[in-house]
Amino acid sequence: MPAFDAIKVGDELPPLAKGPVTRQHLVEWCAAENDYYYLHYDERVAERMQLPGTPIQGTYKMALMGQLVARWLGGSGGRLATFNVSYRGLSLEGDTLTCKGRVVRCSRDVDEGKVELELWCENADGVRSAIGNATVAFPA
Amino acid sequence: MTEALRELREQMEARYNVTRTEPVELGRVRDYLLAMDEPAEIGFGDVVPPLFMLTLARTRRPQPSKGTAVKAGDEYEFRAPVRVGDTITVTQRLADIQVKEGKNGPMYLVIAEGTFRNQRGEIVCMQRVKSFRWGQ
Repeated sequence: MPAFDAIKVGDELPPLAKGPVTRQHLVEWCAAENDYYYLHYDERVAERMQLPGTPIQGTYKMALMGQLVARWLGGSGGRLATFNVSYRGLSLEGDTLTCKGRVVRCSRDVDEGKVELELWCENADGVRSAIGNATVAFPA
Repeated sequence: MTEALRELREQMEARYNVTRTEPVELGRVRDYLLAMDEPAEIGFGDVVPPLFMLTLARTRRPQPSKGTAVKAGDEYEFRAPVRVGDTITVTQRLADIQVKEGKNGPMYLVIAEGTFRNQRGEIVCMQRVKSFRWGQ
């Protein structure tokens, strides 16, 4: 739970590990995001698309990256203002995902303090399969 | 404009140029939290996680389309808190289709934008979703 004045460029967010991500997680995420695209729970579809396994939803990785930020913020009063994610590679059922982030910029104006974060999601082999950034606003 | 691009544009306009209104239901928010392995300790009137917005205005069943699609990216700007019990109207529109030449023919980057308003008409969230499509 960081106070704005205690946050410094280079600070790392406590990593968030999730996994192994099972079929159960994938189907629960279909329900959560209200999108049952069959690729994420039917390996026959993945095979037809010549994929090596059933892919984890990109939006699940995005939500985990959001959870990483939310847990870091705790009850600090910081508010997520912007959140951008770019999907760079596959993560497959059975993989363990680890979301990480660090502070890249801090600024302050009259109304609020602003912290910019670099975020990413790694597969078990360390490949960054999603990268992104976020801005958190703190009341002045 | 090629015939394939014209067809894709029509398909994407039908998909994205829509407005949908739905309530922020407690059960849906709990499903979201449970899927994230978070305690579902939330009640009526509580603020929902900002990224819960990604679950609104979705179509539940896959929409038939030609070719293959993968998500390229998502962008959100959160302007005001959303609470359980709010009613959100999402107005989406197809913003752009960019053509990129791939090894096996053209690849299309489809960009759609969404504006999320609450029951008081206040904009609570802006969204840009990007997907790659090919084999059209």
